[in-house]
Amino acid sequence: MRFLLAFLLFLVCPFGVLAQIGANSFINTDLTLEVQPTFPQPGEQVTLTLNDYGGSYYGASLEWYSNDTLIVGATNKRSVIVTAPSIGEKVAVSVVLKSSGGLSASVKQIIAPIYSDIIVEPQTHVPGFYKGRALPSAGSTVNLTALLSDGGSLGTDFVYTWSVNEDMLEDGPLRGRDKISFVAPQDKELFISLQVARPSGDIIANRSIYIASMRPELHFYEVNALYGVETRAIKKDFTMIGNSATIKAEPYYLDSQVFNRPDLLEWKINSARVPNQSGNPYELMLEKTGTAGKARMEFHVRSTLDFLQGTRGEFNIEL
Amino acid sequence: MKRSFYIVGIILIVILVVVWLFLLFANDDTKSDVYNRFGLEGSPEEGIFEEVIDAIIPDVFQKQYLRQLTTKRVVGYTEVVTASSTLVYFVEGGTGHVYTIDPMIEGSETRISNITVPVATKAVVSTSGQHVVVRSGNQTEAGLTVLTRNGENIETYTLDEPTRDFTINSNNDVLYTISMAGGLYGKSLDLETKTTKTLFEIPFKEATVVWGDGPDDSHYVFPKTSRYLEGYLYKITAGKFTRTPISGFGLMAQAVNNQVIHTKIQNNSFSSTITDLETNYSQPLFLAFIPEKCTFGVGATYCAEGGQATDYGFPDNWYRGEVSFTDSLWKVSASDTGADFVVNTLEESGREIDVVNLTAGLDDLFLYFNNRNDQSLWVYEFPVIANPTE
Repeated sequence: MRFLLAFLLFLVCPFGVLAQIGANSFINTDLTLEVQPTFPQPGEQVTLTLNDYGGSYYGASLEWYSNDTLIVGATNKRSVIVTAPSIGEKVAVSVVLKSSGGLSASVKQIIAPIYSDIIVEPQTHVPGFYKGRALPSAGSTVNLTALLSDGGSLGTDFVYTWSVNEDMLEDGPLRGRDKISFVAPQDKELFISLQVARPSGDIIANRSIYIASMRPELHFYEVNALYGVETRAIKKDFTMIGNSATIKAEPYYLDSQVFNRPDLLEWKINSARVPNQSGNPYELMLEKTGTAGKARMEFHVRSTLDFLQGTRGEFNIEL
Repeated sequence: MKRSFYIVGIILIVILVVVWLFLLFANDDTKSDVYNRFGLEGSPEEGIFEEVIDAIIPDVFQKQYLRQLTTKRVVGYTEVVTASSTLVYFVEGGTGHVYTIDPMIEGSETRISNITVPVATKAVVSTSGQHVVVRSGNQTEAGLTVLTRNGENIETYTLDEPTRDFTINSNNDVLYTISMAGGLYGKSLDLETKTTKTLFEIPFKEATVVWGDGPDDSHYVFPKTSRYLEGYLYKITAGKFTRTPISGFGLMAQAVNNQVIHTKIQNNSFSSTITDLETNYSQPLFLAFIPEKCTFGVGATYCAEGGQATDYGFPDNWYRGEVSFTDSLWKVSASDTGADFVVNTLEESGREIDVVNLTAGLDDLFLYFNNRNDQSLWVYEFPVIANPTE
């Protein structure tokens, strides 16, 4: 009979919540502890709220315990805020209810936080000297990696459910797929969510993040034969000191595939298209042949299949 | 009429000549350096002459604690201290030539290696100065050239693996990362035996590695920084990859042993904290320091700061080379929120210095750094404060 009751209790209570039955109590499956956030990170503030849907404990006194130690100042409060413990540690939060009629019950929730990190690696172009991370742009490929850690032997056999802007990737849960790729939609912000479960179906982590999607942007740099690419970007004006100079166009956040095989790539001087003699289409060598003066340099790179995958820019050059 | 006009003219000429003769001969010729007194009160000795001398002498002889060591572009350096000398070994950008310079003696630059590594863009020098590791070109991945001083000779060794990041530790092992499927390998090259081994794996590629110095030291890893993306700090000890409690948007970190200075965006601006991961003690700092512009000294952490925290595009626009900062140097204590001001580089040098590659010399006597604007090498010498009881 006890096993049957325990089984019924398991079916009714949400994941992780245990109702402990006191000596003078009767079974009450309407008592639950609601935890927010559901899967806290270590050190995160966690709010636990007692829900008594049956109302059997109307007017009961409430005492909250953290690892069997009374939480001071929480007596007779419906909710309590505790800090999730460090990674690898657990904290048991319980609430004991005592009614005036002598009935008592307690509900316990164990908080064992897990780090669930999502590493975002957009497959867009940034130059070799750039120390930051590339950012996604509409139509670019983005790689995601889930890294889970509980400070111990969490295991590796999990089922991952990925979604971007509420569209589930690959149409459902994926076993062992801690890495996944998707094409960035045309939104300024991408909402990525991940749910990780054991093969049995037990959910162990839930995580959501926002990432910004950028427009590809163009910057120009001078290339020095001795020192390589100058890491200070050319702003509006560039003064050509010697008789020749090499300029490199760097289309930041352009999808790597478009960068490698652009449909359209052109340099212009004073609106006239100039052929690029260099082996690198993103570099243009300039030679001073006439008298001093000014010219306007323009560069344009774009995919004709995905019009947002492209960028153009210009600067003035003083000869 | 004409006659009276001539008489008045002659009288005026005579008066002018008399005044001129008076000024010429009646003045004190011993004060010939004083051209004009402009009605200054007091004796001539208290006039402008004295004041000019007072103003000039200190400028001529005042010691410059902030000094530019090189006009050459420097792509790597280290301070090498022996019983008899303190020298800075540095590698010239573009050529890979190796030089030494005494930070106390102007113009003491000496070239010790003329082996050219074309388009040298990054180098590291061992603490003994015996080994120099140089990378060529601006590509994300490239091989390395190792120059080893053996008596009067320089031996070269080429590591062909396409390295992403590298350093050399106090054990003279070259530590480096290379790409693997879906991530990076951290490896070491023993310069004695020329053997390599894998130290750790990073399950993603876009990683910044903060290398530990000793062979048993921990390394730290975080995803490359962008203010628009979240980062997480991981610690690698003996090949084991563990998550630290440090994370946040725009996360940047610098670490030694268990001390981590980290900066992230909170409420739309950067804020910095020093955390001891062993004790879990965290100390917020009153200024937002960029860990990339910080170094750990013997008794304190030193940082350069130039208002980066209030720039709404930082650090992405700084990495792109769109903006530059004029930094001051600060001494940061891990025990309180405060920081001691060390020097304003603009006021001290008259130059706009965007500090990168900051390191502290032995016993924190010197701070060395590059100016990102021209890659020149600079030193700040801490003034020696005389003991007032002596």
